[in-house]
Amino acid sequence: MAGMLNIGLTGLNAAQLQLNTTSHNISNAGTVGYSRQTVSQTTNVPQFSGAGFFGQGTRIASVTREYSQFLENQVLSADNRRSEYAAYGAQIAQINNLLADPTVGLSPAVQEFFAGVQEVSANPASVPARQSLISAAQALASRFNVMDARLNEIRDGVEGEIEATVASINLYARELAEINQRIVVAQAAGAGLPANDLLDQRNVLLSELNKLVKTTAIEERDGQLNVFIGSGQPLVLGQTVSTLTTITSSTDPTRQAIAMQTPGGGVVTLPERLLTGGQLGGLLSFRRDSLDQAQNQLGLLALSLATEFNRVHELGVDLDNMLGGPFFRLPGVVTRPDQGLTVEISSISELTGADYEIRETGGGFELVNLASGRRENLAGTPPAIDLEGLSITLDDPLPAGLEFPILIQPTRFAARDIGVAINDPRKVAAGSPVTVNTPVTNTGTGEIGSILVNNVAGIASDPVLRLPDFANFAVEYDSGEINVPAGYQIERVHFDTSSGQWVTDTNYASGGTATEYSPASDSAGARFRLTGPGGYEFDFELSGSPKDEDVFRFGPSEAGIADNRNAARLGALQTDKTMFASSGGAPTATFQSVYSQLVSKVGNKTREVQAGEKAQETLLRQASDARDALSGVNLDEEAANLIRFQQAYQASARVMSIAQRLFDEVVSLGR
Amino acid sequence: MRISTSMIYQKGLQSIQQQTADMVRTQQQVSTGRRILTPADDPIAAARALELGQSKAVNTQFGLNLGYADDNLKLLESKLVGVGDILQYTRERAVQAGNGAMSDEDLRYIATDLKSQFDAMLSLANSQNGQGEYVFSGYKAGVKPFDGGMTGITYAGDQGGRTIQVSASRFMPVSLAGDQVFDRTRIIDVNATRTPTDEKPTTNDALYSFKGNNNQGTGGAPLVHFGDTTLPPDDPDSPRNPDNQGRRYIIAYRETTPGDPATGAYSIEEVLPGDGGRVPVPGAVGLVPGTTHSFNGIEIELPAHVPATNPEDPGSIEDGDNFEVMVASSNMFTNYALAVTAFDDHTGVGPAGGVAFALENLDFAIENVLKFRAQIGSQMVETEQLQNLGDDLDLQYATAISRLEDVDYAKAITDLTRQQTFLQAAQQSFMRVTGLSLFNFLN
Repeated sequence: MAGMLNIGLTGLNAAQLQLNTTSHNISNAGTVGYSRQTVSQTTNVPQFSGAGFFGQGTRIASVTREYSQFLENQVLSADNRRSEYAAYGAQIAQINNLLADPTVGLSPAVQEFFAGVQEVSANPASVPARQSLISAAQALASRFNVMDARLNEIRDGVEGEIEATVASINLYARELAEINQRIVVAQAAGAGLPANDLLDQRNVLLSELNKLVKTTAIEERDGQLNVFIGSGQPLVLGQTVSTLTTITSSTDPTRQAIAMQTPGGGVVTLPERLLTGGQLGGLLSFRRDSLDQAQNQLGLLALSLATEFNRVHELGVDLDNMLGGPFFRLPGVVTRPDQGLTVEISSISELTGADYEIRETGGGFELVNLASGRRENLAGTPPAIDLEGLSITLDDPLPAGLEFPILIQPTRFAARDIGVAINDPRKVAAGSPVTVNTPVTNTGTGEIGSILVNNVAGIASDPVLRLPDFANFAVEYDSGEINVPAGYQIERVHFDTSSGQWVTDTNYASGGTATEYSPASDSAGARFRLTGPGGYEFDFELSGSPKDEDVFRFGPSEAGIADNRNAARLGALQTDKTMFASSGGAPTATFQSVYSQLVSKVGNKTREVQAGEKAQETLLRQASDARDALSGVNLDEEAANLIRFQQAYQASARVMSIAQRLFDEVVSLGR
Repeated sequence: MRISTSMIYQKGLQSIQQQTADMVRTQQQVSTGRRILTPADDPIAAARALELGQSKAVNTQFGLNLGYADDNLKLLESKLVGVGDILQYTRERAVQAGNGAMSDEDLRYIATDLKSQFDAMLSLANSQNGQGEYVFSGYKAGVKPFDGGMTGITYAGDQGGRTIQVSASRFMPVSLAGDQVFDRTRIIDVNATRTPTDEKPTTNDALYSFKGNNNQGTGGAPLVHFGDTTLPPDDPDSPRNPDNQGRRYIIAYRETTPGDPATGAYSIEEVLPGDGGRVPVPGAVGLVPGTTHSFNGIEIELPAHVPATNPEDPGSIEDGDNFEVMVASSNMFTNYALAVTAFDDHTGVGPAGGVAFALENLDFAIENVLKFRAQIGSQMVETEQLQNLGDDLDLQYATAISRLEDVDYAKAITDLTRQQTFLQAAQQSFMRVTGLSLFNFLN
């Protein structure tokens, strides 16, 4: 009886605990990260008697949670990659929308600008046409400024998010350390049995941390969890936490780098390439791969357009017959004064738009292209190099305390700094400083046309007034030769397709005073290059059949308000290939095709990231389903358990009441 | 496989959200009319559409330029037609003047008429376009190109020609410099020679020599050559000097004692164009017959005096005979003024010289104008062809862009309807499935 009562009691207790656990499962069915718990019962130690072992009821062996570390790891890694794509995608979508909008994108502004140039070319004497060109140029410059400002806003947003993410990482790390401590205490007190709910909570913290950055977690024997990030840097070691901070990058003061505070009190910068995965990895790789590139390409476009336009503009004359000044205002490559070097643009067509670093190598210096990895050494004294359109010279001597590597961003700030340098419509240089006069005394039919000025050095004697006033001179045709006066040089040129330039013809000696023109074979037109004293140089085309002693007089243009030669040349820049020189040196891209490339690059990257995000979401869902199949609560199953254990409880209670009746029977025997 | 309750809710919710997102996107496509909402929707098509848009805009700009070019060419054409008409009219009047039955007064009327035609032609040469710029000034469009009158014309413009870009590789010239049309009607080549004839006893096409209508003598006009052709054009005695071209001289033979050949001598006077005033040529007085006199870049072989009774003589010179020598200019106005003055001043020589000179040089001038009209005409044909080509290209670009960017409404609306149906199905099935629970049956 006593045995039966006890056995019934054990059953009652067991059923009650089962019911507890079942209702715990039911009430936590919606809790995030909860793994359903099951109770395992086992028999009590049996009692030995002469007839055999008699069972002594049941007891609860343990409460375990249904949990698979393997399935959980799969979910963590899928979630980590998904949130990386999500963070990248959210940022790049902003650039995507900015660039290709048909009304606020760059294309319409460039087209309006060149339409203004064509208007001036068609009506060079019209002041309103010139004024509308200047207004269109200001609109273009401000469109560049606005787009760059928007990219800077995105950049500020990214920096802010990086800081916030680092703060969140630190928060979760601290909470992990705290829960580690509670688990240790609980499991020590509980004789090594798993503290299920605390473990679930720790898992939730770990998965939240995992969304932010890729982590590796190792569980110790005492139940504490060690968390490592990057390539093995410890974030949480038991109950010790290392703090992540953001510091200003040593090479580029406009951005933040991630650093870890060591226990000794120092700060160690973590290289960006180590911090992959999660929101932090997504933000860092967005900033490095897409944002920097987009801003650089936009700057490259602004720099090339302004520099090339200025170059041609300065070869012309304005309405007051003065040599043109710079049309766009564009400061040179921005370098900090303490960086100890000067950077100049030597060739627009070779610029790539990448960032560069100057690093020390055993005894010398080398220039590294950060995008392609190409390295070249600097040579000479002071050390200098001319590579990919940049001409870099180090100061001699170098400033004290100079730290390497030095970052050079040739095109980063061009779109921010571009502006229009003239606002007087009369200053638009639509004309050309050189004109030719064919005297009526010529007896042949020779004609000179297509005068293209290449260099205006020495064309104006007064550097302040800049009025072309070089001496008139005559080019004479005589017996198949072109003669120029002493002090001038003339040579014939032909078009070289591989470099896209007019180059001197190797069949004709340069210098001297004579070169050939044969009316029989050249009457369709032959091109010559003339260099005058002072260094000015221009090309012209001679066609027709001149007779002996025919002369052509070159002189400075005078009051030619309807002269549109330079304006026509400026207008042709819209369709000329001026950028991205091929290996032979010939440029392969126009301004508008460079912009299309940028838009296409960003669009493709956005699509790639969006597709990646969708794929990872699907993987995440599959992994979550697998995990939930094991660990998730099914209410129907719990309802069935409720009924089952309720009946077990009732049965055990019934056992106890039967035991009591038996006792009553025994007691009533004595009456 | 075991299903947890949260999985049922999540899956149902995810599919509802997915359907909603798809439906919203289709609705955006339908309402904006664009298939590509951002470049990421179809990066290749978006980049291609951007490039096509740029090409289309450049094409439109060239179309505008063609319009400007056309306007300029039409203006030039109309001016040249006016000039050609005046020259043609002048030619007819010159032929009329050559009719021997014309009296002096008739000739004066013709001269007056032609003087006002000269002014008309001058004002055509100085015409301005709609913006007030001079059409024939070359690059100096603010300066009146031709200044002066019958007495002399100077050209103040330059030789510049404007071009307009009408396609990626074609810069079309749209202006003519004044000196091309009016100042280079003929090339005066001082080195060319011809065999002198009785009608035109000169060794160069630009030299004219006539005998007077009222001459008593039977001799022909003097032989005229150009002077030293090796002299440079800026030498005052050089035949290549434009100052020595476009001039008219009267060579008069007078005997101080009429009838006595021994007292005969020539004197040369220049007739100034415009008012017909006569200026003696310095040092050309009392010239002996049979000698050659050089001045102002020409040489005149003064006919020798031969008695009328000498049968071997080709002709005789009598007291009071006049001869006329003219040097043509390359400038249309100068030649015109010389011819008109010759009609007006007939007392010495008669109009035959002026008429012959006028006809030949007017022909040169008319041919020059026609040459430019032909050039402009072919350019106008070219602009029309380019315009047609540009319009075709514009249409092609627009079609290509539309194919890339625009939404196919039939497909989009079908999609929208389908997605609505799916969404409704998802929502209703969700309610059904989540409503099933064992707890409903526990009392």
